[in-house]
Amino acid sequence: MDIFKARKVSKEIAGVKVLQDISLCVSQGETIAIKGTNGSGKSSLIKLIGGIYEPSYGNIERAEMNIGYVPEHFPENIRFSINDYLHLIAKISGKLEQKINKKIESYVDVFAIGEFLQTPLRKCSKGTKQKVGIIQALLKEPDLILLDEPLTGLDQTTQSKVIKLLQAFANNTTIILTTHEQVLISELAPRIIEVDKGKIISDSFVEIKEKLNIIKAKVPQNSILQELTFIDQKLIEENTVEVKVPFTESDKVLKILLEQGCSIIELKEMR
Amino acid sequence: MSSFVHYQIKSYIQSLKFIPPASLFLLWIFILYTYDNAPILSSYGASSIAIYLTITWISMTVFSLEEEQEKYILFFQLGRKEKYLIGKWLSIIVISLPLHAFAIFYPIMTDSFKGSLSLPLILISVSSHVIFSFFGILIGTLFSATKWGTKKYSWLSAVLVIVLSISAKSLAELASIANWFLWIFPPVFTVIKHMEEGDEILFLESLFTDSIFVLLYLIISFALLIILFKRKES
Repeated sequence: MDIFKARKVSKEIAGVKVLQDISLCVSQGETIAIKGTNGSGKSSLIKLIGGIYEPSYGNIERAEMNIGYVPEHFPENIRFSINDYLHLIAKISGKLEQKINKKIESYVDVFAIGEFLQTPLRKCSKGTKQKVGIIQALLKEPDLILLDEPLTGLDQTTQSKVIKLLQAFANNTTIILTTHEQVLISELAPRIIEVDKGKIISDSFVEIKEKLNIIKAKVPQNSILQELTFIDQKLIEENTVEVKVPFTESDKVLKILLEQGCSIIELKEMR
Repeated sequence: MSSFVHYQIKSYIQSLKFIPPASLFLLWIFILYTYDNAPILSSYGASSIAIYLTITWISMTVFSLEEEQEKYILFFQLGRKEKYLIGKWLSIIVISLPLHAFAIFYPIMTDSFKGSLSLPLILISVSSHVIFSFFGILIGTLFSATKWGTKKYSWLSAVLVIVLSISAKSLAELASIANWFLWIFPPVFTVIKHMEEGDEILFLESLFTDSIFVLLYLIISFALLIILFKRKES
């Protein structure tokens, strides 16, 4: 089912054409990355899809959808604490109090922002604000998630958490994101739309390759490797093992290795 | 919608933007009732004008509470842009309630009137405060939530419209040609004329027709504002 269709759409703001001759069709369940240089029209395109912008010329059709939106820059001047903000915003979207608490707790844990819950948002760091920006959109349990440069200002650990979360959502939600980050494109989006000067210059599909990490660890005794039969492992020398794990499983495997008394020698991305 | 109104009011209180208009309004009321034996209807007429200015001011500050990104997030959380506008209007109405209460009850509690209050007098007075606050919301919205509001001189334009609407009768007397464009401004005189002739309400045909006119003016204006707001936010 198509949730968005645009035919020869252009958008003019204050006399400037920010989008030109856009023809695009988005189906339910797709994950799409919109890439392009700064000022190429990525954010405008996402706003057109979401309904913030209406076309100046051309026709569009939008299905009625529950949309979650993550802006490129989270608002600077929100006076509420993170906790108050998330509760208020979830209630605005019509979520029940009991459900809200559980959901907020789980996202707060995932993004490790528990210690800042009572901090006014305007005093939080850019990264924390970005995390709150992502949480408010996910709390809505949207049918379509629009993310404008979602990894801006986030550290590597949080970036991989965001990717993991989006991968989980991608199973039953349409995701459209703008990005400069190759990691998002290669791990999440099979469809890539490239824009330049407000025009779509390419619309292609790629195969998603699963990114792997290589962990080299010293094991106290070889027998514990039996605990790790579910991963690709190789004993490279006495008491030293090398394991290949999917990027998204790295945290889990590292935890198991450490619990078994192993010491991590090296962790690197497989190229 | 009640959650959005809650969000707005909480945000407005924390911004402290209510302090200047509310303080000025309270001061106005205190000064208005400095002396006892005030005539009922014309005093309430004066406080209605104060409400008009104050609510215009409050409306403009309520509409400027959020920056663009926060507004977009709220659009998506609410699901429709119209809900945002209507939620703002409801928030302004809730914010204005204590001011209405103060304007109506302060002179009663301080026994400032020379006559005694009757139910019709109270009804007329409350209605005039409500109507003037709607006029204020109208002007405030026009110059802060439509394309008129993005102009550099939105505050100045709002003040100009208020002054023109209040002085419409005098302007029309000076030059009858002014009637050709003055009808577009909030019909302040249509309301106030019923409050300036002593404390006796004359239930004339004109009161009924004027009420219908004001009601129609408000309905059409608010409908137009929704269209103008949607045009701006597209």
